[in-house]
Amino acid sequence: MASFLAVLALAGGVFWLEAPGLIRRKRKRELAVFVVFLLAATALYGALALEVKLPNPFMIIKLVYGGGA
Amino acid sequence: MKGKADVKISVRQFTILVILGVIGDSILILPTITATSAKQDAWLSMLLAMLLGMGAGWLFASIADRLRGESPVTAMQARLGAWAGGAAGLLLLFNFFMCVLTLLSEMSQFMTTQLMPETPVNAILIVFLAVVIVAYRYGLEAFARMSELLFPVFALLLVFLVVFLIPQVKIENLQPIGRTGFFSIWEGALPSFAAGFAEMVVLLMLVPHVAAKGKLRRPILTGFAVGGAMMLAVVLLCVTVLGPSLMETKYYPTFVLAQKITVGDFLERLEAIMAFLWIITVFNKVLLLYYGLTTGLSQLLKLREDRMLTIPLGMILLVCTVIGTPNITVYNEIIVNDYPWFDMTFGLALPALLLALLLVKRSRKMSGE
Repeated sequence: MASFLAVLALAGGVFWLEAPGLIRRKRKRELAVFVVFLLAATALYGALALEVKLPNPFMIIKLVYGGGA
Repeated sequence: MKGKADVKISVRQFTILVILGVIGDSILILPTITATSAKQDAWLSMLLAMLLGMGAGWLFASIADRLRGESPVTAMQARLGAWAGGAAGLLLLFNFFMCVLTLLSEMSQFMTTQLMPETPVNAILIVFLAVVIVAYRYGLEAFARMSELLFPVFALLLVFLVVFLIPQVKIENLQPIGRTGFFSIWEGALPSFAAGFAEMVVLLMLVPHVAAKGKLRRPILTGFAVGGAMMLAVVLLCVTVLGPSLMETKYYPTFVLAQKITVGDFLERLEAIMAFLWIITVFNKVLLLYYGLTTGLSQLLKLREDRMLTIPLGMILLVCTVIGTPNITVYNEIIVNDYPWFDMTFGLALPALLLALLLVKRSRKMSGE
């Protein structure tokens, strides 16, 4: 749980670091993409911190080229 | 702040980035992979991979000279339209993404098994990725200069390694030459070619920023030849000093190689040199791929800045590396059997399509003028 909170704190820190500049420069598109990526990253990292079992990305390659896992 | 189009690197810096990229992770993992199938003919596998690599270099150079200051991602979008071109660009980015994962996995496995066994993988990856992110945020010019600065150090250490190992070379280890047969040599050459040369398709992302008046064919082919020759030297040393059986059973033969150095009983166990060499090249290749991934993504989505993407992408890479490497056996099984074919598809077939596209269709922007 502590590591999950650390991930949330990290995500907040990153938002605080990047978002104000983007808002000031009126970069709406950039801000939207940034938020989507940050949310995805936080969800993944949070799942890792909570020890949720995630699919192995290399399995995509194994599925396509290895003729099934 | 300078506009993105103004970022320029010299031809010399470009060549150095290519050389270090070709050596990349290959220097540590390829000796094992080639020796597993080709035994004492591992060096022939490497030679064959190098010849094939020059072919790949020729393909990349043909594309580079036809891109004329465009990035491959924008070039595909300009010719195929937003959707089909975007999908093709996404495939290229997927290749960069998976390549970064393999490099990060290998780096973390090496660190945890050889140098820092008690440190958690996450800590090693966080530090490594933090440096990559900082380097990216300083910009292409800064990290191209850094590679230029590190290259002499790298070359000197490699020469040092070769010179001090020459007394231990046993030519008998090479014999009988060619005994394993062409198929085994080919089997060893394929992954070497894929990991060392086909993955260098990422150099196309740098092409728009190279300040060159003439063609890029020479710097690309020089980079491939020099990088390939250095790899060949390392594999040859592994075979002649360690012999094929030790090469096959140790995960990091080059590391064992450096441990073999003894100079007059006072200079012993210089494997830290090897670790340093490898960290330079892996860092360089990760940075190149990360550059390709981040810049490509911002081009694909038509963003005006990309700095804000760096940390979230770093986090995603970290998580995927950790879950992608549950243990070294699962990882190696995929890397040796399936991964080369993935590299071939995305590092050769996709660029070949791009080249065909560049030859057939002119950019909409250009024909509209």
